[in-house]
Amino acid sequence: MKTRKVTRWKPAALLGSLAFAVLWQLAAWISGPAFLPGPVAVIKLFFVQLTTPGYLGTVLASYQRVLVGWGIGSLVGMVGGILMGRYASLGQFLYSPIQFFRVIPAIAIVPILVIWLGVGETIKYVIIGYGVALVVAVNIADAVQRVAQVRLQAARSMGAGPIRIFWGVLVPSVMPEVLKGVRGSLAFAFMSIVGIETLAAQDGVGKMIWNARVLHQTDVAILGIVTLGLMGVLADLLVQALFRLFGYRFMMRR
Amino acid sequence: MSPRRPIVRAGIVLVPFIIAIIVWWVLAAMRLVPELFLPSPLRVWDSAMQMLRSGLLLESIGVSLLRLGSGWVLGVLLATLAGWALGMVDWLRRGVQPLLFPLRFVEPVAWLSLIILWFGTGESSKLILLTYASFFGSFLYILTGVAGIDETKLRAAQALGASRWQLFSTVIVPSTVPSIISGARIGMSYSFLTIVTAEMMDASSGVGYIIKYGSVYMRMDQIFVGTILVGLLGIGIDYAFRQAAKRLGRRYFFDHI
Repeated sequence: MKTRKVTRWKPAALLGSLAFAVLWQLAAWISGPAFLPGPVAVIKLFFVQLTTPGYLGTVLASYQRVLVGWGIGSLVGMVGGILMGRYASLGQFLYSPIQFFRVIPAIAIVPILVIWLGVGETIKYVIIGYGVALVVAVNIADAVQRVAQVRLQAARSMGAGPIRIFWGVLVPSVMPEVLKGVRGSLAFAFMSIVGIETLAAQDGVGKMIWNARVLHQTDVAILGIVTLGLMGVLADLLVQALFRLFGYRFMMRR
Repeated sequence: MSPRRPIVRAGIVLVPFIIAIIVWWVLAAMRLVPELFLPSPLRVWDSAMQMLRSGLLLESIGVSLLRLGSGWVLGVLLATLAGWALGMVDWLRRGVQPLLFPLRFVEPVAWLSLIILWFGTGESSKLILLTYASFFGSFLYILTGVAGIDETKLRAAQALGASRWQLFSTVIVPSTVPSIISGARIGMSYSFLTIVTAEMMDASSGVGYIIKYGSVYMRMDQIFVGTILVGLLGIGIDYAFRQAAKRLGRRYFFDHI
C-alpha cells in the first residue's frame, strides 16, 4: 500500500516552527509579558538560568530519575515479558492483574510507597519503572507469542537445546519489537515525572514548574515545559544513536 | 486469549486477585509490620463502607467522572476536527507534525501550573487541562491515521471527479475512523492519568483527592480505598469503551481493539 509520507520534511518543519514562534511572539506582545512571555524572553531566561548551578542541578535531578527509572523498568519489563510470552500459563495467570495495574496511574500509588519507602530517590525510580515495566512487558509478551512456531520447531528438530533456542532463535526474532518498545516507552517514563516531583520531591523540573505557580513566574513555568520537551528529544536522539551502534544487526531486517 | 467457557475465563481472571487478597490478609494478620503500613483487608472494607454511607465515595466518583467525561468529549472532538482539517491541507500537516514530537515528553499535568496562573483554580482550569490531555493523547494517533491514508484512494476519487467535499466525506472520514476510535481510547487513558494526578496535586474533591486526603492524615486504609477505587474505575471505563467501540467500529471493519 502506498501511503503518504510520514517522514519529516525538513523545510516544512523549519517553516512550521518559525511560524509557531512568530505567532507566539505576537500573542506575547498583545497580552503583555506577565501573562504570556514570548519565545525571546524564554530563550533569554534559558541562557540566564544556564549560568546558574541551580537550573542545571534541577535538570540533572529529573534526568537521573527518568533515565534510571526507565532503564530499570525496561529491564524488568523485558524479562517479565519474555517469561510471560514463553510460558503461556504464566502469561494467562498474570494477564488480569497486569491489566488492573496498567490502568492505575503510577502516581496513585505514590502515597502508599511514600509510607513504605520514604521520600528518597528509590521511590521515584520505582514509580517511573512501574509504568514503563508494565507497558514493555505486555508488548514483549505479545511479540514472543507471535514468533513463528515453525522457527522454534525447526531449531528443536535440528537438535538445539532450550538455551540455544532461547538465545539463537527467540531473542533475535523479538529484538526489533523489543527495541521499538523500549524506545517508545521513553515517553512513558516522562509521563509521571511532574506528578512525582510535585508530590514527593524537593527538586527537579516538575517541582520547578509547580513552584512557579506560587510565585507567579509564568516565564519559569514555560521554561520548565520547554525543558521537559528538550530533555525528551535529547534522550530519544541518544537512544536512537545507541541503537544504531549496538542494535543495527537486528534492525536491518525490517 | 483462547475462547473457553465463561466460567473458566472468569476463574482465570479472578484467581490471581483472590490469591493476592489472601496473601494480603495473612500478611496483615501476622502483624509483621505496624497497622499503619499495611491495614487488613477488613479494615479497608470497613473504611470503604463508611465512605459509601457518608456519600463521599459516590460523590467523588461522580465529580471525577464528570470532569473526565466533559474534558474527554471536548478533546476528542477537537482532535478529530483538527485531524480532518490537517488531512485536507497537506502542507499544514507537514508543518505541524514535527512540532508535536517534543510534546510527547511533556506530561499534560505539567501545564496545570500555567493553566492555574492563567485561569485560576476553579473547575474551568480542570476542564481545560483535561481537554488538552485528551486532545493531545488522541490527536497524535489520529494524525498517524490521517498520514496513513492510502494515496491511491485519494487519486482515484479525484480522477473520478470528486469534489473537495466528496473527497472529505467519502475518503478521509471513513479511512480515519479506526484511528479516531483508537485515539479516543488513548485520549481516555491520558485523561484518566491526568485527572487522578491533578486531583492529588490540587483539588478538594474527586477520586484522587481521597488518596491525597488519606496521605495527609496518614490514614493508610483510606489510601488503599482510593487506590483500589482508581483501578476499578479505570477498568470500568476501559471496558465500557471497548464494548462501545466494538459496536460502533464494526462498520469500519474495526473490531480488534
